[in-house]
Amino acid sequence: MTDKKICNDELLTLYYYQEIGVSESHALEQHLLSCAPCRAALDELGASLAAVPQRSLTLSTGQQQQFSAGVLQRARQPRGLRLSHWGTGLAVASALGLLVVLLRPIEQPASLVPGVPAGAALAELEVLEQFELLQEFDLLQNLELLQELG
Amino acid sequence: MTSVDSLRGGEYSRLMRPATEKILIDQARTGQEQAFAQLIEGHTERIIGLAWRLVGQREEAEEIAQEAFLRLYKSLATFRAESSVATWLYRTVTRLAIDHLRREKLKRKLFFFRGGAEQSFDPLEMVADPAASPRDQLIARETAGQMQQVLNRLPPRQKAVFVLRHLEGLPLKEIAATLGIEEGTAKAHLHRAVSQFRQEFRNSREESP
Repeated sequence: MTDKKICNDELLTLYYYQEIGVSESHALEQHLLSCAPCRAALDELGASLAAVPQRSLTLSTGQQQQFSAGVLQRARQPRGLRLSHWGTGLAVASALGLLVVLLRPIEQPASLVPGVPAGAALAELEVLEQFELLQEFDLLQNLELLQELG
Repeated sequence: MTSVDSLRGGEYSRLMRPATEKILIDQARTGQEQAFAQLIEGHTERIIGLAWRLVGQREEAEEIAQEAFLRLYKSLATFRAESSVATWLYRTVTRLAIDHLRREKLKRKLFFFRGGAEQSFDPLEMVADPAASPRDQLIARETAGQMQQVLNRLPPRQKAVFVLRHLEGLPLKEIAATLGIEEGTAKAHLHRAVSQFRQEFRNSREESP
């Protein structure tokens, strides 16, 4: 006869791994004596877990020393040198992009005056602006003089 | 109670006694690389083995183990003897492996890549019972292959709980502490993993003539 409280797969799993208390374990053992489905379930559980491959790893002393040497070598490197491949790739790409932008020739504006280089035309324009300012300054001075005389 | 330090009949603890470990840590703190190398060598096999059982690939397992030892190296100044080096490494490797498995899963989803889970099992690694008939040996190998596939397909945290409990023999309480989860959650993960193995085992029995 099955008992819903005890016929519980999770409880069987925990019993298999000895992860339940002594009293709970004892109660389950008593139940197993009279419950064929639970006994079958426990057998199946044991058989299926026994089929899980137990992979083990063995390393020679030389391999262990080689591994520790690798760790120490990485530990000695400054943090900056321990960038991942992706990080390094990204940094190199960014640096190249920046270099291309910086080395690109700056476009000169086209000359406004035919036959005169653009730079020279600009210099002439600046002189012209300053000359006009000087003229305006002279006019202001003359006006002030007239006011004083008047 | 079993712990990381006393796995498989004290085999692990014999490799590195607590007193020896403490001396080596103190020496490593003062910059003696040889002491740290000795500390690494005392744990290498088990730590790479754990990472290998978790991620399934030897090369990736070595990278994860290397990262764990590097983190230990950087933490030497603040490392307290509250937990042993083995416990610290177990925790770090398991967490790194879970992160790795999650990233791999995401990569497979993003790029529709189906590697990883299917590779990594060599049926010859499974030691067949020499007393069994060739037919039984073949069935045992096939079943082992299917079980390995189940293990590879488990969600990362579920897989970690199963590997630590079933293959490493750690108690659930310690597994819960290692993963930073409740013990009840660890129990649920273990049960779900075991249910999948049982289901696969049942299917394989039904399929075999």
